[in-house]
Amino acid sequence: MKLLVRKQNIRKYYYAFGGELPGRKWTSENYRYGYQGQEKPDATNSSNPWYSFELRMYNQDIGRWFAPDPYGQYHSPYLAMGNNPVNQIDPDGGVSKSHNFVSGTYLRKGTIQVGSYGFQDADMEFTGHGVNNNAEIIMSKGLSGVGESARNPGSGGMVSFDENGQIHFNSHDEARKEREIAEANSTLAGRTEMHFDAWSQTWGNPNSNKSTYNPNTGTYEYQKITTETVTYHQYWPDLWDNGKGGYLPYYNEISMSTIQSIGKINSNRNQSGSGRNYGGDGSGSAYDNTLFVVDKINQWNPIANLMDVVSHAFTGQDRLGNEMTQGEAWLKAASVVPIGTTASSGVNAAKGLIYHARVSASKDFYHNFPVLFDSHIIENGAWSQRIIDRANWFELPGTINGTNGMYSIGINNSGIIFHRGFVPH
Amino acid sequence: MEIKDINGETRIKFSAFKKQYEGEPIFIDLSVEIYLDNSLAKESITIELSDLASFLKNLEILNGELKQTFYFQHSDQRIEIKFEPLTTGNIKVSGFLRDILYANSLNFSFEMPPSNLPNLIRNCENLVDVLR
Repeated sequence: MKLLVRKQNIRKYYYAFGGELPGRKWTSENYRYGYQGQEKPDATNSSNPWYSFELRMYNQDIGRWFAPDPYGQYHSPYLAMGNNPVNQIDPDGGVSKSHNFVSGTYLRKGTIQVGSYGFQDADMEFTGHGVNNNAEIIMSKGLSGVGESARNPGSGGMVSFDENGQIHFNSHDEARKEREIAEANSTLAGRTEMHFDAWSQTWGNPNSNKSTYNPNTGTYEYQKITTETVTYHQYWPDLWDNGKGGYLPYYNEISMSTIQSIGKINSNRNQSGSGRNYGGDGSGSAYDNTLFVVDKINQWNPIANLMDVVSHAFTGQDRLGNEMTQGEAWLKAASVVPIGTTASSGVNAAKGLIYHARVSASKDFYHNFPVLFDSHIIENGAWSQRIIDRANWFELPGTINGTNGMYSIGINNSGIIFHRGFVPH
Repeated sequence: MEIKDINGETRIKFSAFKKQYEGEPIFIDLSVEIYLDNSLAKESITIELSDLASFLKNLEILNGELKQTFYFQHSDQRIEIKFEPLTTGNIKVSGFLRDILYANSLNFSFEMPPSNLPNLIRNCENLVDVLR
């Protein structure tokens, strides 16, 4: 290993464990520090030929400490730098840590640590793939004070850091006359808040059109901005990749590819080609999105919404005391009544449930319970298969108007629900 | 289609068979009347054609062996008829008929001679053929 310590006219070469290479020393004066910046031994003093780290004395000849490790980092308490002095340093004789000098083709499982003042008058340049494989750039103090720009080789765009500690991702698409910028307020490390802004060069004010990541709810709120309309989109992380992925109902204007290259944010998935199809062709048509909204409404808790509606009727507030508009009250009221009075209407059909005409036509008391129940019964009920025709049968105990009984749903070989009923005990 | 007791009196009467929809499963609307000495019940129920076919199959087995106990029932559980061979040679017919709200139920029990089985099977065969 060559470790170069340059100070004025001093130059020394060391063995990996700290011993001085004979004949490879140039010095014009005495200098106090040596290997790993530690106080060097005095060759003229035979009583102290070893390096004096803050916590322990170090024998550079054998690469071992004189005293046991106060932190018990390795199986041997005398083992120095983890027996890997090329990649590790030990600043004080306590715990050794990985320290990579960035040279070569890549940094692997190491950490670049930059001190108090970060990069000053220096470039951090990724000439290859940038940061890959779950690696992160952690800037615990934010980006304030960094005023330089750096090239983002992944997208061909520019990443700029402004004086307010914000990152700007600027992609250039001259043909579409669009410009996309993402700002990172606060820090990237904590991701307490991130703003993604996008606007058209020919329309809009970037500061008024923000898309915000809310860590409390785990949601993104996006705005799609065109020259004609502004459309809001909600992000439901539970729909994709166990919460890690992004989902935008029909959205492909803002490219987050530059964000993905440095963080763990996945986004910009449009509905086309997705696995979630709201009954249409997945193209993001008005039909799809109507079913999407209906689906979300029906997933609301009807009891809670009913309480909200009743509370609003008397106090103008929901049951928790929050102000509600009349429109919100109507929307909640709508959610109490299942959309689609017959079981074969679009909502459950969108979930893949198809109903026999006889089931849809049933209007009597124990055959007309809300269709919202069906998927719950199928998912949670006891399953059996009818021998005569191999129909799948799902049964789940429950009540109707306080009467105990058994909900049952029968699905034939064609996937059609031909029976749904409640039989009291 | 009727089920008579050992005295020749009609106790259960099935009538007004009507096929609901084309395509599987085939649903049949029918009227069921229960006649007891001091009670009468009449209800419209819906069964599947497969329920009737199973009933026919079990009747044929019972007629051949006079050993098997079986039930005529359907998914809504508004009617259930149990056929149980007795050591006396007769067949005990018992069960219930419920109204559409499951609030009222008429339970019945009587005995029928095995000599009624061939006629019952014939009627049932005709129904299944017509309704299929």
